Amino acid sequence: MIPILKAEFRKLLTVRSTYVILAIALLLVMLFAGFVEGVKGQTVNLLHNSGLLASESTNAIVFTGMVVAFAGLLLVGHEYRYNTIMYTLASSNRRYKILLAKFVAVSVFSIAASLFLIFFSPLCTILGAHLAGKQIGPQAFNVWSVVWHCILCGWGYSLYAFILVSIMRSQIGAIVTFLLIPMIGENILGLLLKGNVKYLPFNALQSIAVPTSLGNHTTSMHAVGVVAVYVAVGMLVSAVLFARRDAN
Amino acid sequence: MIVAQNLSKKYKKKLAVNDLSFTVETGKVTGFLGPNGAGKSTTMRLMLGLDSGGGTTTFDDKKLHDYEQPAQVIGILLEAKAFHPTRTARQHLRVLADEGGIPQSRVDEVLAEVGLTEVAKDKPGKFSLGMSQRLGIAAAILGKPKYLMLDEPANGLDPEGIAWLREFLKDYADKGNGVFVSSHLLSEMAQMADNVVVIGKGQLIAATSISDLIAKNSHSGVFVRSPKLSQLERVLTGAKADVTKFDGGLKVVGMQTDAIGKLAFDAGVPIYELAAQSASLEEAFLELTADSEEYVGKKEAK
Repeated sequence: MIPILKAEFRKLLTVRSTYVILAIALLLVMLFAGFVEGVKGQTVNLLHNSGLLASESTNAIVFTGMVVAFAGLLLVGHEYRYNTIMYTLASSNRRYKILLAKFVAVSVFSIAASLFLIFFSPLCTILGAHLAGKQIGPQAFNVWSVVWHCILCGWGYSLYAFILVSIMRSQIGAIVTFLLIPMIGENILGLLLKGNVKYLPFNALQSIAVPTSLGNHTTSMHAVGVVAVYVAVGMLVSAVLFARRDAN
Repeated sequence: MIVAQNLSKKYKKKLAVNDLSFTVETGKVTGFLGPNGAGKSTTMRLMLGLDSGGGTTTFDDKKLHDYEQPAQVIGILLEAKAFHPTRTARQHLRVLADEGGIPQSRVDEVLAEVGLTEVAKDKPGKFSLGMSQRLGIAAAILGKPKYLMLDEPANGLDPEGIAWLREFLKDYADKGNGVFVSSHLLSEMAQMADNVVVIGKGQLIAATSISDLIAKNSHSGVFVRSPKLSQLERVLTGAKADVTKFDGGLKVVGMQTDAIGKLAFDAGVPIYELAAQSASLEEAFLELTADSEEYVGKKEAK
């Protein structure tokens, strides 16, 4: 199992796309948290909002968690696109080991990236405000609360992407679906479901980090439960298909 | 020894591989031949457990997934361009080494063996087909496997590369390993392979040695020319030889030159030419697979 895990991490860290994705995530955070929030546009009142920096952390995950998730999506998508899946499967005596190794690699990567973004985003805001000569008021930053909410949200995005591409086996198809579900699919479904919108996968995921921002008025734990069900069922379906389908 | 038994694979209504059984011996190169769409690649994938289907394949009496490290049992090259284009050649092999539980030190060794040391840091997305094949062969031999399974490894190689591949595979087999290789280059196969498995429309047509395959082909025979052709034909037919008129002479199948010469001498028939003719592997292959071609071009009307 350890050699396969090493291989999956090596795959993730030896392709250009991983670094491009990370760079995009960092640039987005620098742009929105640093420039838009810190340098520009903030009123004195908002800068003195004690929850400003905590919200910068959650916003960073809600908006760039999806970008980070593409690294995990590509880890699997590339295997099918470039047909390396044949070699990956032929080199192991059990297919589930490979899926498990990919799951671990995607999880570790997304958690590490989320952890970094959680602190990088408020840092950008502080730096931006400082460069603009503004003063940020006293902040209430419950590190533990922010960290677990944000990490679960970031991890959830990556697992959704991972499950989608594992089932679809098409890089382009998975990317399009991953973008369309939260942006269009859930918005349309939200009109039909109204109060039950909190049971939709991406809606629930975002509610982990920002429980009331989407008008769901749900709790983080409830949202975690909904996401856990989606992930568990998705992983089960992925595992069954991964073990049984032809390697192409 | 690799033993493939009753392999079968069905795609919707089409039977791609139909109850196929054969063996790949150690110490020999076994060629795998068949027309386009005959099911060669599908058979290889079935043998490796990459596709689901019927039948079993054992490698020294054990199924591949019963080995802890399958990559150290069989090295494969199923597709030349199966690599990430932006991961360097060395990193590509390092990934495969990790997956197969193979020491990283092997990576540079195999790169040198296939002549890719100079481009080890390059991204293979820009490699020519020949270089990609070499990288694929490097990947196949990474784990020093007892068996090699290569699908069209000579595609895209230049003449020097083909000669290198031929010698390399023969040497590999001579060390007591088994090599199973498919190719459309029949002249190369004739020089390289000891045994051959021929399939058509997913079914086994022949599994024998190259020399046996050629010898049993109807294009093999003896050409004989004489001023008394009709008399000679009667003599040979009477001796139960298979005789046909051919190019101003007779083509005799089922009788050796010595016997034909003696019969002609005894009958007082002068002989102007008496020559044994061996069929090429190409002729044998074309004859064997004549009914199995699925994709045949139209012949131009004259």
